[in-house]
Amino acid sequence: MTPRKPSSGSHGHGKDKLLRVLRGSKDLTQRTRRTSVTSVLNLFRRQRTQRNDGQERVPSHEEGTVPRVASGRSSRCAWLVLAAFVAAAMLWAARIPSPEAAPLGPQMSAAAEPEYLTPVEVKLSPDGAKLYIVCEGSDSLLALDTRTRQVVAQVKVGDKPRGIALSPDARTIYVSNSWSDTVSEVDAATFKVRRTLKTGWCPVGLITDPPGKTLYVANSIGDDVSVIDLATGEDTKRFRTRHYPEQVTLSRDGRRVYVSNVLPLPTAYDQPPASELLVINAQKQTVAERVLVPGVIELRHIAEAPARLGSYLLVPFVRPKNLGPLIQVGQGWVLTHGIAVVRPSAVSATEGGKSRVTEVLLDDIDYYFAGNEGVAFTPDGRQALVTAAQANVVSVVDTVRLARRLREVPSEELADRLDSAETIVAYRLPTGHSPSSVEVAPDGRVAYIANRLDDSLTVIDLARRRVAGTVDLGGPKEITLLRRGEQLFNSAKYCFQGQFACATCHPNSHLDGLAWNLETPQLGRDRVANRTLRGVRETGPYKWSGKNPDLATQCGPRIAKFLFRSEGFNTQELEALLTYLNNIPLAPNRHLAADGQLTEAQERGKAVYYRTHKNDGTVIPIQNRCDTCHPADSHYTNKLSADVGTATKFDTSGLFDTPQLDRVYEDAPYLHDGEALTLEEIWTVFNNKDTHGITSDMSKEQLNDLIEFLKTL
Amino acid sequence: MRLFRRSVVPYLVAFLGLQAAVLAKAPADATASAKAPRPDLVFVQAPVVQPGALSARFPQGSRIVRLAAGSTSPVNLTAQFFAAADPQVSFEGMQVLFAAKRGAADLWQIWEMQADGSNPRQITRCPNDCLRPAYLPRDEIVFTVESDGPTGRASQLYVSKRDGSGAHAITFGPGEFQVETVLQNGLILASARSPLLPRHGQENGRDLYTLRPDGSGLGAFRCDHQPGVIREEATELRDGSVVLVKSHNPVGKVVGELTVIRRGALHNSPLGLPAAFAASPRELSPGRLIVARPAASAPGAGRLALYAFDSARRGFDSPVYEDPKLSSLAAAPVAAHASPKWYWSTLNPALQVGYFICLDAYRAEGAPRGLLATDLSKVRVLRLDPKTSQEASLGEAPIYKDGSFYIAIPPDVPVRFELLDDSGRVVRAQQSWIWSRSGEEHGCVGCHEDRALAPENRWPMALHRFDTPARLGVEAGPEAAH
Repeated sequence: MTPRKPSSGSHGHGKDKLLRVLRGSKDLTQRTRRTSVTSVLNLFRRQRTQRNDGQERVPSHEEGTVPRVASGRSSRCAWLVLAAFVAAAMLWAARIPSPEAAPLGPQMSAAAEPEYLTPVEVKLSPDGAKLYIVCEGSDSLLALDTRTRQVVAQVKVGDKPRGIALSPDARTIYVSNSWSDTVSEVDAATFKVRRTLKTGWCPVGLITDPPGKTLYVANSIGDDVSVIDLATGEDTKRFRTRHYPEQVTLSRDGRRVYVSNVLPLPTAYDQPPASELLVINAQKQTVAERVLVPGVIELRHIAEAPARLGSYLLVPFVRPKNLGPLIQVGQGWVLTHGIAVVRPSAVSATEGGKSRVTEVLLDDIDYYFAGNEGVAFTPDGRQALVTAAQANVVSVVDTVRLARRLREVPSEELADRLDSAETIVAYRLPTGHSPSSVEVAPDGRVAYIANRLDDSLTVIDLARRRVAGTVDLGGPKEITLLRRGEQLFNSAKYCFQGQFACATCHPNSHLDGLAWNLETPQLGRDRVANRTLRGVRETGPYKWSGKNPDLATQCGPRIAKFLFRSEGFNTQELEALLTYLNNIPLAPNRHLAADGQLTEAQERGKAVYYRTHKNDGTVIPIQNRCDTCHPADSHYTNKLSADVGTATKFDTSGLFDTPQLDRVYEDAPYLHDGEALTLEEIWTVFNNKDTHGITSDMSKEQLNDLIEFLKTL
Repeated sequence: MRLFRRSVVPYLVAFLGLQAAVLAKAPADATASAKAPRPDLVFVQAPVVQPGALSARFPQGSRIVRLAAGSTSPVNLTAQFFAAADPQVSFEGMQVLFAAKRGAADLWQIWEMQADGSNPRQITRCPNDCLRPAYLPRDEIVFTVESDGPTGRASQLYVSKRDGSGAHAITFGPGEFQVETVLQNGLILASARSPLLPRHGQENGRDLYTLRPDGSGLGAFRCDHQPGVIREEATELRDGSVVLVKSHNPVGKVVGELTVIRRGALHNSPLGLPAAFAASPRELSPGRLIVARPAASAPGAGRLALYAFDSARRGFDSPVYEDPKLSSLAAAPVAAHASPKWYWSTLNPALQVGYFICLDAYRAEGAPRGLLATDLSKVRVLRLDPKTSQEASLGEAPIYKDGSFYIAIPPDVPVRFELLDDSGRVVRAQQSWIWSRSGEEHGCVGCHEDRALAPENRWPMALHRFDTPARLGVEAGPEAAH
């Protein structure tokens, strides 16, 4: 399939886009009438800095600096006057009755959302003087002076930036823009965006090769890695990877590029998951090995130990027990969290080399540290810091003890042992909300942790084993209902013993690619695949059984009782959580052209989708037409349950909720139990009796076209 | 001068402290060391403290007193009672839950009063002794009911509303269950006789168990396989560690060795260095406990006095309070503290069936590599008649190749399992009684398996089948646990 220009460009950037996604294509002027003064100023600032080419920049006379930190008094005065004027104008405007001025429920409150920074990624300059911070929420890159701990520069980049890399000479910063499908190339000295490079779909992690000539970018939705020639800016090559690659690291010797995947490999729904760590030969630009990390999902950041310690890798993971009954949450260990220790082979897989993988849990017996995400070694390799994003903790691993543990306990047992942390974790420290990324200073004395959901950094004093301080990055101080909801979504403390958060099974508010044995009338029956939460608003009823009419039912007592096996959320927390859930946006559709124009294949597929007659002219009964159950005017779901003949002998009912089809290409595996690994399999494998639409008369080409159309939804 | 300060001042302070102790009168002659600021305390005072059954600890009576911060004179809060014990401070720090009896011949009942001793309110009206209570979230309490059973003194745990209504048993069988504390995760930590089956030539001990406030999910907290060892008086610290008192049967002393199960640790370890012997540990502040131990100095030598214990230094500090005539113990800070998590019960009383799903019966602690080598064929389920204390077989159910089995049994009935090989020989027999409540799906990993080892991720064969759960002693019916 030819990648088409993504439609994200038509959505605008950052807040504008968020507002559009949340509220349709309403006029911005009307919206701003009821936004706070803060958000109005943010919007104003953003409009001022909008460039014609779609990129955003700070005001030109002091390119690359932060006005509130580095600008002069006159500039500040000008801003104050301007702000007062705008605020007065807004207050006046607010008095005018508006069709949208009615009281807003939780689903609509995001319209007044201030622009949080949401720092997701940090990178230190080689000398440790600057810490670069990628802020997903404000679409910006910040520079922090590590001596003064002040933000000294910022620049707007693309939509939802997620990753960062430095050129070998540290003069250039590359920031991946996950919703723009671009990389912003930023001059580290001037903090200007020099150019914007095209990538694959939803770029996240990225790294340059040692000469600085090539940029490797993990495209999470594209399931591939772009190889970009930095001289020409061209995306010259793609490495296929599976599934949802996010993080990329270059080996210290510059010979390998490692790519971790968040979602597991497509596998039979009744088998344990396995995830892929892709190893690329950076010299030959070939796949050196596909390392299988068995039994785990959600491989995150990658850190490599110093060469004298064996250059092994640490990769945080989640190790689920999805095949057993979920009642076991009441005992613990249904979702455990740890690090994969990967010892790369010296030779490539084609030459018979095979990396060794051992998994070690960082949980304690009866206490879990969910959401392992960031990892970094100290320069001497004696310690490794691992952030637990859903427990708000950083665990400091003593690597000498880790090595001893690896020698002493058989690897097949180690992966499930819950007493390793007692031996190998030297200490743990609290962080802010959702610690995502960690960097250790070159002198090894200090570590910096990005706290994604409270716009701060936690600074760790590694010598004294304590939190040295918290750096407020200057985001809005108000915690809105939506922001609180996102914090709750990412907090594991509501689950028994802290085993998991909503986000554990819904990474990136999406899905985990697994089928689970949830609570059912009988154990071992009614296994169901996880479903995405993106765009979930107005798609109820919920659950595959269609049992929960709304999200409040889905996430209230039932989730506490049968999933979390603990207290769950109180009324106020539930309201906040629902606000967040109701406002999780859909990602831009990568299969749909920016102008909405369908390709020929998509047009043909659309005709198939809406067809009323079989190829032989026979009328297709209404109940067997695609658009009957998947109507376009309600997220392609009629919100009813149907028997499409996909029940297995392990299902107690053949009726399943009709799923919405928005961005359906992101949602594999498919069907209620995740048996269909691809869209094609829904019909080629699981629709032999034409019970899920009439497809038996279709040619291969027709089915391909239908799928091409489905991907545009 | 600095040298002078270092060398002389501590001795001077110690001397003055000693003088103050000697000169003080009881209760005014009680001494208080104010090494570190401490909150108000409530604690028990008694002329005699005996080990053994909870109801027989204070044969000459006891009282609960409150010692204000900075004060050396405790105030009696329970003057109207012959005996009072087991003070528990409410989560808000405003009330005290306790056990008391008005006269020497009366039964122990659960009471609640304001933390200043006002408005005492009787919560239970038990036909037996009700003691050792603890607060549960959302206005519930759990307490211990001691009674005479067919084989001697027995005790069970009960849960009721904070006003005493709705009292119901949550333990079943001859466990001699006693409330220890309520863990922050919402589980009740209890102690019970261990093993529950008599072993020839071997003393019973007491071990720690957890269960949910609805009586489901009974499981061993940690096992150290030390026969005859009694583990009790457990308390959870803010860092998640559990401190307890360990002693050896036969019970002869009130104090035992302070022991800690550190957060994440599989086994317990001594808290003191050298071994520290004390009773009734509670957290005073992070890193500090308040415990009772025999006073070292006259005039109260031999009686229990309150000491602080420094967890980092692993030793006792100077006394917090000692009384020349009365033992002081079971101290609790009068302060607000976090409420444990509340637990949503999944029980279904109407169902009248309980379930056990065992993931892998081959997994057994003590077996080579933690796995039984013999092929298992069946599980025999033995039930206990609580009235006659006689065992009877409920039946046998298949164990599948992966070691899983899935059974349905009558609820609230003490049962234990025997794993059988192809020839019907008992390969391993459970040494304790457990139960499944109505609607409970009691999950087990293995047969007394390694608590630190999570099971494999696999779909148990017992749940692949359509002839499970095997019904033992219950009528066939639709499965509808939820």
